[in-house]
Amino acid sequence: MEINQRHIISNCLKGDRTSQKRLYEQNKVFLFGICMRYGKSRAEAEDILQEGFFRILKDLKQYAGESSIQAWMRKVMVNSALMHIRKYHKLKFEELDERAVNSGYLSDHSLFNSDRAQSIIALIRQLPKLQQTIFNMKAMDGFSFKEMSNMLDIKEVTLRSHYHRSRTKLQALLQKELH
Amino acid sequence: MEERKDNNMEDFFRNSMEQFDDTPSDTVWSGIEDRLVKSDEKNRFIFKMWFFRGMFFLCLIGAAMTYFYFLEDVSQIDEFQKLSNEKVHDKRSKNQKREEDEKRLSFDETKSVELVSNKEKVEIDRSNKYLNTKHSVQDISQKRNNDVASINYNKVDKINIDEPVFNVSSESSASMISDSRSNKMNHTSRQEEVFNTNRTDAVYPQQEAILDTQYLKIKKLNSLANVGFMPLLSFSSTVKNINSNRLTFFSNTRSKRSHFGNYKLGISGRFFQTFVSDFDGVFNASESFGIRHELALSKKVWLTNAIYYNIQHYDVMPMNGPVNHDVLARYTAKDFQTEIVTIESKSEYFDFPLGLKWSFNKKDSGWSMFINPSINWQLYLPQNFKFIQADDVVIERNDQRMFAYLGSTAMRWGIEKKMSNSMFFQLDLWGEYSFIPIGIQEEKLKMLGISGSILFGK
Repeated sequence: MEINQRHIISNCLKGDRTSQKRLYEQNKVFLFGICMRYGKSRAEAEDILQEGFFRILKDLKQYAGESSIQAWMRKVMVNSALMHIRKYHKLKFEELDERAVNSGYLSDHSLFNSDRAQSIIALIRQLPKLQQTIFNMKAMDGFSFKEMSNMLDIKEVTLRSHYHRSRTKLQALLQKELH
Repeated sequence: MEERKDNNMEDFFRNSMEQFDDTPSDTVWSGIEDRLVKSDEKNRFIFKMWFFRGMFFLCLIGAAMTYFYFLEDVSQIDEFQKLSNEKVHDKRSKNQKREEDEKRLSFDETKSVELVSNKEKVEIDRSNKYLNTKHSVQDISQKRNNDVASINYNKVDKINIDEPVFNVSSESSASMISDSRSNKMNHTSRQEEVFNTNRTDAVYPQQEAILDTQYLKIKKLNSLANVGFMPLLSFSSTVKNINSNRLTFFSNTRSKRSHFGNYKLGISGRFFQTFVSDFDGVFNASESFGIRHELALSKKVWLTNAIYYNIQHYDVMPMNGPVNHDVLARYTAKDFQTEIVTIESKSEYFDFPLGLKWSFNKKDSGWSMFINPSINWQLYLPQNFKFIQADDVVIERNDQRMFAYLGSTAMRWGIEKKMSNSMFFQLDLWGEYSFIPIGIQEEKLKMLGISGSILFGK
C-alpha cells in the first residue's frame, strides 16, 4: 500500500473530513461499479454506495491492513448491498424482476460499443434478484460457496443450483444479443 | 466471440467491468457527509446520556448509604431487636405452658375447658411498634367450646413487628425506557431521512427510469412498513410468496455484521441457588428480574449495568443436622430455649451490577460468547426469618433494618444470539460472591444460577 494511502487512512481514522473525501474520490468509481451490479437501478446503486461508504468510514478502524484496502472495501460494500437488498427487496421484488426481464433493457446498450461495462450490468440486472445476488457474489466478487452460505444463510447445494441457473440464463441472453 | 460463449463467461464479465467508468452523483458524498455529522452528534449525545445516568446512579447509591449508615438511629434499632426477642421468649413460655395443659387435659377432660379458657392470645400493638412492646392479652373465654385440638393448631405463632418503609425510586428505569423510546423515534426519523436523500439528476436510459420509479415505490412502501405496518406487510408477503425460494432467501437472512451493535437495553430474568457457610443441600430457587443495559466501548468490550429486584430464599442450617451455634448467634441476640433446627431466610433486595463484558464473536455468524465480570451494589429491604424449633414451632420474624452494600462481585459466562438487526438474546451461567458479610445474618452469601436477557439496540 502506498504511503500516501496509509496517510489518508490514518487521517480518516482521526475523523479528518478532507481525507475522508479523498478516500471517497479515489475509490468511488470502483465501488460504484459494485453497487451498480447489485442494485436494480442507478438510484438504488447510489443509495447502496452511500450506505456502504458510510459503513467503510465507520469501520475503518477494523481494517487490519492484511489485505489491500480495495479488497476490504469490496467486502464491506457487498455486505452493505446485501443489507440493502434484505431491507427493500423482500417486498414485491418478484414483480420488479418480471418487469425488468420484459423491458428489453439491454437494447439501450450494446456489447460491441465502448460502454461494455454498462451492457454487462444491464445483463446481470435481468436476472431475478436472488440469482443476480448469487451471480455477483460468486462470479464477480469471488466469494466461495461456503462464504456465501454463511453470509446468506442458504445451503451450498441451493446456492450452486441457483448459480448454475443464473449462468445458463446469462449465456442465453448473451447468445440472444450476439445474434 | 469464443470468450463470450464458452466457460470463461465469468472472466469476460469481470474484464468488461474493469472498463466501468461511471461516477456517482455529487449528492452521494453530501449524503455521506451529513450522516457522518449526525453520527458524531449522536456519539456525543450517548456519552452525555451515560455521564448523567452514571451521576444519577452514584447519587442514588450515595444517598442510600448515607441514610442507612449515618442518619438511622442505630440505638433505637438495637433496642427494638432486644425487645422483639423478648417477645419470642414470652411466646415460647406460653407454648410450654400450653403443652403442660395438654398433658393434664389428657387425664381430665372436664378440666380442659377451664384450662383453655385461661389461655392467652398475644396481639402486637402495631400502632406503637417501637415504644410500646407490651403484649395486649386477650381472654379467649368465648372460645370455651373449642376442643383440645385447637391448642395444637395455635402452635405456629407469628410475630409481625415491623413493616417495610422504604420506597425505591423508579426514576432510573423510567428514564431508561424513555431513552429507548427516543432511540426508536430517532431510528424512524433516520430511516425517513435516508428515504428523502436527494436523488441524482443524472440522465440515464428510460427503462432504468422505470426501474427507479419502481424502486422508489418499494422504498416508500418499506418506509410505511417501518413506521408500523411491517408485521402486516411481512405476513401478507410471506403468504403470497409461500414456497418461493426468493422470499425464503431474503426473509430468512439475518444481518451478519460481526459487530454486535453499540447500545443495548432490555429485560432480564434470573433463577439461582444461594449457598451459605452451613449449606443444607436443599434447593431453594430464588428469582430476580430487572433491566439490563450495555454500551460498546470497542468492538469486543462493553460497559454493562443493570437493576435487578431479587427475591432470595435459603435455609441456614441443615434441617436434621447438628446445630451450629456460631451461625445461630448471628441471627439472634439471645439463645432460644428450645433448640432451633434451621432458619429459613427470605430476603428481597435490589442489585446494581456494574461491569465490563468481553464478547468473542464467531466470524460471520449471529453468535458470540462473552464473559462479564462485575461489582455489585446491593440494597437489602427488610428481611424475613422463620426460626424452626425442634418441637416444630415456627417463629417468624421480620427485621425492619435495611442495608446498602458495595459488597459482592459477580461473573457471567454465556452466549449471545443476534435474533434480528436490533434484537439480541443472551443466556448465561451466573455466579456471585459477597466479599463482606451481608444482612442481619452477616453471611458471606454465594449464588449460582442462570439468567436470560432479551436486549434491543443498534
